[in-house]
Amino acid sequence: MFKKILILITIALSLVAQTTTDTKFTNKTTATTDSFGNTVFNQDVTIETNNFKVDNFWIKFQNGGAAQSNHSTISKSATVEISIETSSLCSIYTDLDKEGCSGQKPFLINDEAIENKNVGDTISLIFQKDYDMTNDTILYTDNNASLFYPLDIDRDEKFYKSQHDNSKSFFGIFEKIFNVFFGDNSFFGGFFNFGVVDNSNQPVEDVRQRYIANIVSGVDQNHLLEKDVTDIEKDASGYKLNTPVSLIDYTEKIVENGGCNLFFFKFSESSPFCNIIGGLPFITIFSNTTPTTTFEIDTIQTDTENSLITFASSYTGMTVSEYQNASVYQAQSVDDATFYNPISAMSSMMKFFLFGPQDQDEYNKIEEPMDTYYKFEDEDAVNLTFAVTNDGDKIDDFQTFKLTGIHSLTGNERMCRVKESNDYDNWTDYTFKPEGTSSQTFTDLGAVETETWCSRWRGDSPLSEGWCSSFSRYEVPTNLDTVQTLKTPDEWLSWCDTAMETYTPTTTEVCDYVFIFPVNCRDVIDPIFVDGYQIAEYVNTSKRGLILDLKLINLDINDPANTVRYKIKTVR
Amino acid sequence: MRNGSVAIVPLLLGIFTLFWFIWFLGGSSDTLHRVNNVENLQHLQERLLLSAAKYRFEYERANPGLTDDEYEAVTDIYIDNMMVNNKIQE
Repeated sequence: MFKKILILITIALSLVAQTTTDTKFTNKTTATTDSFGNTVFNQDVTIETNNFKVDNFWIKFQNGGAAQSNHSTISKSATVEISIETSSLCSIYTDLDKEGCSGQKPFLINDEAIENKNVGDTISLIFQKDYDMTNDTILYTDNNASLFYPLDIDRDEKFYKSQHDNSKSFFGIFEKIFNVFFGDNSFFGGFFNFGVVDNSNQPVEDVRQRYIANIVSGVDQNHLLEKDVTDIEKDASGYKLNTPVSLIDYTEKIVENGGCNLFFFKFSESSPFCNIIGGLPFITIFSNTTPTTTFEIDTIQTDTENSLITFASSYTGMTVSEYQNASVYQAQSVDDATFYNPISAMSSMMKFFLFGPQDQDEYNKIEEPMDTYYKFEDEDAVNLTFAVTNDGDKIDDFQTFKLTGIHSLTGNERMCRVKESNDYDNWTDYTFKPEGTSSQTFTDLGAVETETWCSRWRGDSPLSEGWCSSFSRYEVPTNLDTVQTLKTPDEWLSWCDTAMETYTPTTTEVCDYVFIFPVNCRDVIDPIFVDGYQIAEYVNTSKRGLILDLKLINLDINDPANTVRYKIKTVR
Repeated sequence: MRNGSVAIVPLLLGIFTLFWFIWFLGGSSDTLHRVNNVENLQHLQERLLLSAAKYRFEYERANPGLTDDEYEAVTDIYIDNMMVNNKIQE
């Protein structure tokens, strides 16, 4: 009886037992960085099916077989690799080809930079192309903790060039982003109309487009930099992965009047930013050549700055005026010891990076650098993955940052050396700088009235007749009080500016002679005399700098800016 | 009896062979069929492993803040549905 009940229960249980499936996740590994800078972790997944029954159809024709076979557990497990890549732009523009996007941006930092924290956990890095201001090429130093450098990494054409269907090509998207951000339909196209050349005067439009594309959407998947593999070389022979990448190098030579419209990123023409920039930057140092109105802009820096501003702003859905209105514009005094914002800690370095290493005395000719910056909130900030190198030979690691602030720096360098040869000023040759130089007299020479005296100094009465010998006659001014003024260095510099603006240079041909035959003829600029004073040397330069505030982050799977990829590693 | 009526013998043999073959097939396919079904299930499981991982983490991305157990439960329901769709379970 008992046996029967047991059998019945067993049969009943086996009939009632439903097929069920369990999905289990186990053994999640801690996240690490892979050789491309993405965050990677592994997760074991198991799918287990219990009480799986197989009905046997053929039993009808069968000589003794089971009508149903029952499998208590059938399971499969796998280790799945989950990699997180930051691709902020492609997470918005979903019609972009994913192969053309990645988190890697074309920037290189030294490993020391990661420890270079200023305030809190913010790292401020200065864009650096020309380190010592003497060389046209990028001078990389392998232990500078404050700088980031641009890299030229190749890119498949389809991932940045215009295609038939402009709307879906990468370049079409960039054009749209830039034009929408700047509110100007022709902005992006017009940007490339300036004559940008490389060191050997060759056009570099393609390089620029590639560089901008690599900033905005990241390096494409076919040209990713790889840890311990990609070399950094200055003479890149090819651009494929595993071959050297080059530190980028081009400049823009503009032979036009200055103004804010020359900058890719346009501030309002009436803004203080533009006022300091307006008409600048240019350098005119008189030498044996005709002064030129050509001035040079570090286009790579401009491209970097404006691509980042456009990219980061587009990501948060801002317009250019919203960006400008929320930007903080302030002077950065070198002497200011109060740290009222993160960048102040670096303010003394700013002059150095804007104007290069100079003697303390030389600083005096530089006006206060100005900083225009915008601060992005953490949740709106884009992520950037930078290549990290230990000694500049190869890429040793990657670090991902949140771009929390962009600082556009400007500095103005002014100097004017004036010589005088009149009898009234008690100085002869003086160099005026905005700070630290003393005021000097300026005499309106045309308005000076004189009397003739026997002595250089006025005696009891003026000479009316030919008493003293002609050797001791002196023209002594009578109205110096009214025609002579004390000008401050700033006033002198303004005088120089006005004089230079209105002065038309004249030249004289000077030749070397072999016997009587002229050789090696050249135009030599005539000495510049204005109001009886000679302007011997004149510098009026504006320089720009770019600082990024970066916050070191670990890539979070829940960050919508990130792309997550799944890959089966092993199946058991 | 007419000559040639013997010709029915191969016909009968043929019919007999056919029935035997069906009987034979039925017996041998028992194992074969069972193995096939189990293998199909395992293939399905294998294909669903990646989907399960993807579903779990994409769900987490869309609905952050839950516990691991909750994500696992949601994924479990998803895979169960897949099993129902594939007639593995009801």
